[in-house]
Amino acid sequence: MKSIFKNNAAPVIKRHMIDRFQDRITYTSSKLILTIFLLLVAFIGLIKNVFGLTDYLKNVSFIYQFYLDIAHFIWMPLVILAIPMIGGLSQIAFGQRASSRRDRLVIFMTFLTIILIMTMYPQALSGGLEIRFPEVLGIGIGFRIDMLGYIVLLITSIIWFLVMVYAHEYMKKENKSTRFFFFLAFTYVSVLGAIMAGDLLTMFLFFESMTIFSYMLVIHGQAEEAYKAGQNYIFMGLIGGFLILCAILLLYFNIGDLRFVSAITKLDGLGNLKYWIMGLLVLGFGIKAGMAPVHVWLPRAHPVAPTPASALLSGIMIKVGAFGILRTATSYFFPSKEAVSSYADPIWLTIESIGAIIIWFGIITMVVGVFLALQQSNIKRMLAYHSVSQMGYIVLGIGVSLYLGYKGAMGYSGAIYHIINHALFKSLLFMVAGVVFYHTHEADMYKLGGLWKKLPFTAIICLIAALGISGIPLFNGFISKSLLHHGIVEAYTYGDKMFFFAEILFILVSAGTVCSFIKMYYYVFIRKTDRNYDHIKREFSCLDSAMGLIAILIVIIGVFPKLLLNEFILPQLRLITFDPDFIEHYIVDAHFFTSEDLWMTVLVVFLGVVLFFAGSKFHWFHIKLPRWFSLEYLFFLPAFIIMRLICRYLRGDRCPIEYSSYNLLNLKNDNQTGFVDRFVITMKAFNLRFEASIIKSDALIYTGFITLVLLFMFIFGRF
Amino acid sequence: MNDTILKSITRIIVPFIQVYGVFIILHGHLSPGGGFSGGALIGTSLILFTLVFGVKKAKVKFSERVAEISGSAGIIIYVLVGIVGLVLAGSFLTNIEAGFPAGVAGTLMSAGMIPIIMIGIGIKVASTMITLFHTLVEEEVR
Amino acid sequence: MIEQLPIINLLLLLGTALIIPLFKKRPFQLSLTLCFLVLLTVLVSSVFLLIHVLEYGEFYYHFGNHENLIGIEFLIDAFSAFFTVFVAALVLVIYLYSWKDKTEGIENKEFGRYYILLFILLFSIFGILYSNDLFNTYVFIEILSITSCAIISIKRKKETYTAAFRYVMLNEIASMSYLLGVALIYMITGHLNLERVATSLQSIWPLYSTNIIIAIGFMTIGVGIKAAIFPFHIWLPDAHATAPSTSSAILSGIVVKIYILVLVKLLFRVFGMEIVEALHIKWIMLILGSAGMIMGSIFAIAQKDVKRMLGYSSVAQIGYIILGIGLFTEAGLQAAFFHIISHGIMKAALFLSVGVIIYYKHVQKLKDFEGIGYQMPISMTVFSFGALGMVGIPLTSGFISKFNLGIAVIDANLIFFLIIIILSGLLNVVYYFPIVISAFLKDNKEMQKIPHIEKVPNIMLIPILTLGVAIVVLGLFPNLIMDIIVSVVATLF
Repeated sequence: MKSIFKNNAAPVIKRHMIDRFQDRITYTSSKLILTIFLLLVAFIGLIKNVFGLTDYLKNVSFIYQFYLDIAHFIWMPLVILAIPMIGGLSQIAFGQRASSRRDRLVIFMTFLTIILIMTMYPQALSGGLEIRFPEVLGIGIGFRIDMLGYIVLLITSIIWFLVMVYAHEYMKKENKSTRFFFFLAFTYVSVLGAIMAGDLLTMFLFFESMTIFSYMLVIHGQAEEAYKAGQNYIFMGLIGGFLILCAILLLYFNIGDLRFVSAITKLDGLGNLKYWIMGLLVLGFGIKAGMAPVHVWLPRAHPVAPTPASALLSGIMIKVGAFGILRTATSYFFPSKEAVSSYADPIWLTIESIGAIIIWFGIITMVVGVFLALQQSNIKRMLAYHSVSQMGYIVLGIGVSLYLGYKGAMGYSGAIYHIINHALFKSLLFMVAGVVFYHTHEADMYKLGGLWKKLPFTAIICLIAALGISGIPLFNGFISKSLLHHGIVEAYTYGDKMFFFAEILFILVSAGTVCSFIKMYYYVFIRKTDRNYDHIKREFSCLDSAMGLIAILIVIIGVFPKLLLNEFILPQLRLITFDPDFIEHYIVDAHFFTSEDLWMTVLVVFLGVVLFFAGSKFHWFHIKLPRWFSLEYLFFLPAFIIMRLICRYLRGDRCPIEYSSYNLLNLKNDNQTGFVDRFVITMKAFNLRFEASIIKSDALIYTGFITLVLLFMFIFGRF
Repeated sequence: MNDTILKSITRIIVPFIQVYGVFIILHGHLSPGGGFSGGALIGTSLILFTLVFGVKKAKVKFSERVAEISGSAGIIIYVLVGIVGLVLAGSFLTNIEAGFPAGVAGTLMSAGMIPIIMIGIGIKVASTMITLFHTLVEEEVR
Repeated sequence: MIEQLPIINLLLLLGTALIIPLFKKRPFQLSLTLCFLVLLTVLVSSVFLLIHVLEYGEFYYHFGNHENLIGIEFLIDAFSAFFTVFVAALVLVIYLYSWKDKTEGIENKEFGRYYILLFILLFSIFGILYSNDLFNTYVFIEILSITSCAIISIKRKKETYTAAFRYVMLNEIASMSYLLGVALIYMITGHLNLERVATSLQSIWPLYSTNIIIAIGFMTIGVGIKAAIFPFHIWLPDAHATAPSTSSAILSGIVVKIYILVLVKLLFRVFGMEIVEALHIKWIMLILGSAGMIMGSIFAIAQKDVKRMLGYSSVAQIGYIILGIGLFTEAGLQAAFFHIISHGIMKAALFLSVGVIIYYKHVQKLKDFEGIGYQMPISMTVFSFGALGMVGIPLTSGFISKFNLGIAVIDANLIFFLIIIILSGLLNVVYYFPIVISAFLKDNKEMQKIPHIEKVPNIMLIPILTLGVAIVVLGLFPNLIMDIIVSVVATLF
């Protein structure tokens, strides 16, 4: 790589600077990252009208003209979808031979997407840019961008861009990277489409394509575990898709319109059906969001996927699931703004019961996630369980906002804020894990140690991310966790007192998160060990530049929380049917660094440290759970028994489903045959026994069925 | 077969069977029968010939080429008659309105196109039967 | 002049079948081009007929200008015109594919015979669709059975004989059942024309109920055997395993659907809604349809031969169609007709792409599909689109038909069948996805590192590509066809 610019007639100073970077692309991409950072600052500045700059600029006529053009260009969503598609298809032309050019193309295309998304701000602010294509897919699809979608779009594009920069360096150690980038580009298109969707059918379309394209990313390594994990992933993804399809059918039939507008008046008249619809939607999107009990694909898919894919899977794609729940619940089940004016309006009853259930789902997810995370030794698997747990926070926030209905603005903002924060720090954590793996080829944290000497930059970044996820003040996690905490407090203040337990569990889970990250940081970076890491070179590569920007963003959001709140979340809150007084009173002037919140943080950290020391002493982190404790085992046990019985009956004693895997399930051992494989084996046994005999007995079938049908018609017919 | 009695009797009978077949074909519009049964009769006569005298001699009398041509000819007659009806009177297989001579009911030359169609059908059925039989018999020999 | 188009279509098809043997001495290319021109003409004239019928309404064609009491009548309305266009278009595409399909055991001198059979098959399909007379339909059904059996067993191998024999036996039983039904109906009404029979049945239904029940039972099951409805699907997998790919595509994509259309005509036009509701035929069809959907997929999961698996998958999809028809509502019928079209296209795409793979690599077992995706990207991509359509992923026409079927089922308040539809979709995933995954992802040991475009003649790739594009276009813009289907269904109610 260094030979590329030996031929270049670059001035001496520049060459000296370039030599410190690992390759040319690092230099280019670092410039791009810096540009993005400055653009973001400028963007925020323009929005907030800092120094009266915006007004001044608006007076300059050609800038104003440009602004008007942008503000009325309604086809932007299509352009945004087209760019990654074109990029993905054209990078095949470069292929493996010109890999640096290919990576440059990919990085540039994601960079372009960020800029285009930024230009959509004026339209999103005014409440919606809407395009519809009435004839496509039978009942028409459409795009709609409001502030909720806009926030998620912005964070998605920024993180995707940074992960692309990271992936350039990381994928040098993997093969078939062209295929990887191709499917990554199409996954990007699907994610963008799902966020920009204006009705449920469009969201479903992009959701399914996202599942299918990201499957190829999970399976990239092509190892045996990768295939198994991928099979689990795609099956659960498609089952989720089918559940959503059921909900779409029921909604379309009963309401006639799938657009995200309020439909609660018609839904109320349906009786129990509305609970079924919401249940289907929650489960369907929840599978993707990693909500317990259907989160089982997450911890399997993350360790086997390459790190850029894991970072995006955990950082963005599971958010699309939560986004789906949030969108459908607040669009269909909330009344429209004019229809309601008070908290006690009975129209909120539906959403209240749904919200309560979702809160409990969220709590269970949080607890399950953290508990299992503490047991893991594989860094990526631990991070995957933490994703489950943090998604629990988000689901909790959604539940609170639904439960409180008119006064649910706190939960809503907490959920959105945590979506943004989690995207940032989780992708950063995965990137750190990837860097560690890249340099040491070791994924087990108990086998690492003392890396802060060799990878100081990475250690600092990891510290920032860990502080972020733990909710320490001055880092971004603190803000969203405080919002969510306030949300739960409101839940049991205004609602059922039972949610006090929810608050206790919330605090415990936060403590568990702190403990888990103390553990990881200690074992990976600090602990003294005799392992030899001399082969690690300390060059500034793409890995570091990408991680750097995310860390800076984490710190900035932590220090200036109001930025995000006022410019992005508040306009969205005003669009949705929340109590305006509540918003004014509690959110506009929210004080984040109150003493109450700070003491809460101290409590959480204290509990976390105690937990860590107690755990290491009493070996709480290596609990051998009983063999039958796995969720899948409990869920599938009757099916397994039936299938073994059928198999044995049909094939005599030589049933290919072995006995051992049904008796002993090891949590860490993935060698058992999964549900699908057993199903296929049973079907084969069934087929072996029955197919030939059915084919031979054609006459018998004919006479039998004729008699049956004639008898049926004679007995039951009315003449 | 080398039986003399069979061969002599067959040589005498086959023409009569064929005449009877032609009679049935031509009187399709007057009495029960028509193209299908008459053609079956003619085919049967040829099958009888094949059974008694062997496939090789039967093929001399009624070769594959002749069978193909007569098969196509049968259908072509049918289709052409129909098209005449189509062109002259607006509907496929139109009979009297297309100008086929109606004649006096009950005589041989009556009922428009029906005798013509019967002849076509008769030829087709006969050639089909003999082709099928020859194919089956040759399969066994092979 | 436009009124003569139906019979001109039929005569053209029959005429070509007659002329092909005359061209034996000439180069084969001449007869191929002639056939192509004839097919194109038939397609164009069918489209004209469809446009005419949609604008001006239906019309009758009387053979020999005899009125329908004593003569044979053709009814050309939206129903027959639309489906003739579908059949003609699909056969044209499949015909292009068959130009080079020589390595399937069809010897060169038999090639002419293959096309003769194909054209007579097409002739009989057009006849069934147009005909408005019970016995005339029977005659055409017999021609269709025999030619489709011949088209399947054209390879001279040992396995073909058993499969063909079973096929012929079952089809004959089915035809006899149908004829028994016709005879019973003639016995009580004295008419054979569909409309006269319908009016007559309305009035005498209380008197002769036994006759009508036996007639309906035998006719439904007879046509059901031919249409590969669940317990009677027995002949379909064997027939597919041993047939050339072109014939499989035609059999599964078109022929089976024609019998379903005969069933629709019978139930809706001859017997009418009153009798159908009195006899609860709805429940028979719903149960048979759902059983087909589930059992078809269950048997498909266990197959090792890819063509047998596709055959069982057809059985499952036909279950969908029967479910849609069995709802006896307009929405159900619209969904069923859309699925007839979309399944025809998807199944043809699947069979043709499998055919290309067999042509190139001479393999037919599923485990030989590993790594083929790199050697034959176009065929496997089209195969993947077909597979995605069968599962019901959005952007394919399969999704639209599932969607419409789901809405129709909810409309009829039978949520249980919605669960069965979803279950069947999941089962489809179990056996389609492993093929696609192993083709694109697993490495074949003899595979070269650099993928090269397959050395398959373009004339075989163009139809496959057309079908693949059609799946996606129908998936994006289904209303192109749905509007016509709405008027088609209106003629039946």
